[in-house]
Amino acid sequence: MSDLYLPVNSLLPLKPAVFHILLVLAESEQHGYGIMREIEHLTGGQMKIGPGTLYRSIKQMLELGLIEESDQRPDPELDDERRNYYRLTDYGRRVTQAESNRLLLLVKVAQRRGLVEGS
Amino acid sequence: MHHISIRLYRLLLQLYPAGFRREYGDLIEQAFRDRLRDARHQGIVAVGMCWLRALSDLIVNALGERLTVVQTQSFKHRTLRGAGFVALVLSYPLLWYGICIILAFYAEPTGIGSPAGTVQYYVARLARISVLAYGLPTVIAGISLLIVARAVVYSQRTALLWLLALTNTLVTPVTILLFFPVRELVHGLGLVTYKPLYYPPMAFFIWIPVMVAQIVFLLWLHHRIVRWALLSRKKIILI
Repeated sequence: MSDLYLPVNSLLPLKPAVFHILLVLAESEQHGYGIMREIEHLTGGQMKIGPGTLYRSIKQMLELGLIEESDQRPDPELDDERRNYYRLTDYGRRVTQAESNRLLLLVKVAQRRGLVEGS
Repeated sequence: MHHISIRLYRLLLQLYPAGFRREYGDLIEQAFRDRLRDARHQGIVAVGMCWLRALSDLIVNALGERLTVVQTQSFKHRTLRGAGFVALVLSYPLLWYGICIILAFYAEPTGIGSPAGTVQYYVARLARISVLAYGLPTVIAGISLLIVARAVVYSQRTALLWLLALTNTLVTPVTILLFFPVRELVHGLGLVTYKPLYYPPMAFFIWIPVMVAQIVFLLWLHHRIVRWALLSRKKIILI
């Protein structure tokens, strides 16, 4: 992983898969399949990502320094050693916040124009 | 059934570029294994949907990753690899040129006599054996290219391309230069009784296939060595 980070705004907008992975990892460290399940759970089954999409995204995110591999096993009884766990970096958290704010701004615009149900 | 599914998926993972597969292949397989296990608890329809999603995911991402590999290769790396490939391809006709010279001289009288006369004899003969020395390598070069292309597919290694090209290039003159004195020595010691060969038409048609078979065997042997060298250094499942 490089110590040189790109400016946060240059990464925006994030790809949907990347943003969802970051959201999951903002909560806790997870392994690959855990991330896939959590994304499905968070979106009520609307968003399902496959293993290929997941690990291609993870590869890019590791290169960009958004996430890093973790040596810890949060649930050692249930896990096996072959699984890789990932966690958000500080830089990744800043990027996630920036993307969240960007999306929030868009949602507010949609709300003002009566495009959001119940608004 | 579960094991067959996993094996089939593992085989399909070959669609990813080798580098990506080495790094993430096991993890992707593990994620698919977990997803399939969960789908099995939900019934046959869920398993079918799991496979459909896995296939579309695999095809899209394997193509995408291959495109990424091409785009992210540095100019220097691509140039070196391209030049290495050209050097390797060019070195093969040179190698077969050497082999054909040796095969041609195999059926010729030796230059027994004074050292100067022997050298003169070989130089003169080298200039005359155009059909065997140039005709066959052209045919064999086609076969060689196929083998080289396979070797290149097995490996992304620029250094290996250059090493093979250099080996082929060096082997040719060294082998020819060693062949002549050994041949003279063997004849001089009386280990081989030379009888002049005059080719009747039938003998010619037999001799040419025999030579082609010899060269094809050498090509095959070379291919096996390259393959073994590559596979022993990194584990690749070949389709």
